[in-house]
Amino acid sequence: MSNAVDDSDTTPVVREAKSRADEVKRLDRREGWKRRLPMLPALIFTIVVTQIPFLFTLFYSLTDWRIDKTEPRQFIGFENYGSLGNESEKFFREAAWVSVQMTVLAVLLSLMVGTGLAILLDRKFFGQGFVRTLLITPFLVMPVVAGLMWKTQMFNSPFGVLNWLLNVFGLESIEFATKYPLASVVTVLVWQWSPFMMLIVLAGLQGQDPSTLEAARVDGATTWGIFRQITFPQLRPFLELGTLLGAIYLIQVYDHIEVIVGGQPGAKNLPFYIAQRSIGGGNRFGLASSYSIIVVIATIIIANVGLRVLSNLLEDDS
Amino acid sequence: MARSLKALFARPPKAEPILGQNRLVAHLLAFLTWVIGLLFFFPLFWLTLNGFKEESVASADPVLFFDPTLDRFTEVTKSPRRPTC
Repeated sequence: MSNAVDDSDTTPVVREAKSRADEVKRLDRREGWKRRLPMLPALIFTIVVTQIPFLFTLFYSLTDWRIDKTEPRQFIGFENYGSLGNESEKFFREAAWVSVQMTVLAVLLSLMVGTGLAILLDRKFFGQGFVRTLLITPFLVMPVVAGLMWKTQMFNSPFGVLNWLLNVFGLESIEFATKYPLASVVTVLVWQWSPFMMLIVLAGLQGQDPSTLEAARVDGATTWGIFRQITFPQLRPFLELGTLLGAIYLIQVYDHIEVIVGGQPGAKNLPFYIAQRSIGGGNRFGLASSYSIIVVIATIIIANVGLRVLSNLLEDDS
Repeated sequence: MARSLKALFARPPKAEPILGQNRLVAHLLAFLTWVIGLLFFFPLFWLTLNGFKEESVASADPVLFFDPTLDRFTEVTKSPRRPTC
């Protein structure tokens, strides 16, 4: 049977076709490398500055390296990972939970606020450009400045503007940052990131084909119907992009937490906790490295599953 | 994406807005947008305002009117700045 196949392969026509196909493939490959070559420096640079430190972290996570002891670090296998389930590591699990809450809340809320602002801005009115600029400015402020400003001038208990407002309305002052640490941080994050989401969604709204909307209106569609069935499906990729970029940036928030609530347990997310356990005085570099590796693995899993679920949800909806 | 970003900074297309076919509603929505825009900007406005206050005024009950001073700005732009804390 195999002989028969071989025979048919060696007929002159087939052989010629095959060699031509090989030639095309070879040229393709050469062409591919020609195109990839200019990208190589950037690729090598990226690998050197991101992947090699990651490999180091991977190695450190298997050691008991701590900087406050004089003994050389020892290779201890997976002991760091094994200890994550212990009672002593419950702060790690708390930080992980805070991380999830903070990221999900901040991304979803800023996406909602941003979409609302974009819809409001997507019209002609007096001072449109000016209001758009006003709305974008919070995104341009440095995180530490935003955090300090909110902490000392807005949330502050005796003299903050928010508490002054509460007093005007006859309510008791609240020390926001102490009493509601997570909500305070999320507020500042939403304030900073709504403009970003607004820009993305506004780009989607203004890229819409006016004639489609016109046609829908002529056909008697309601405002809600137009939004639900025409605008929203067209916004879908923009909303997904906003979610993805927002999640990437908001999962690594550090500055706001450091400035607004410091080491309060209620609002300590993973990057903050990892920094605290290693360079921030904990000195447990090996253990902190194992935290980081867990975070990377969890992020990859959640990002894959989450994005798929999200895009399925939106797809079913529209 | 790049095209849409370009569209963002170009003149908006002539499409009718989603909300506000009615003239009155359109005015109300424009007003609402202004209010929200100013609210969003308020913390930064306050930050700038506080830059012109004396320290004792800045860390006291919020006031809108005060004697402005440029001392804080000269303090940070003068070189070398002495550490104060």
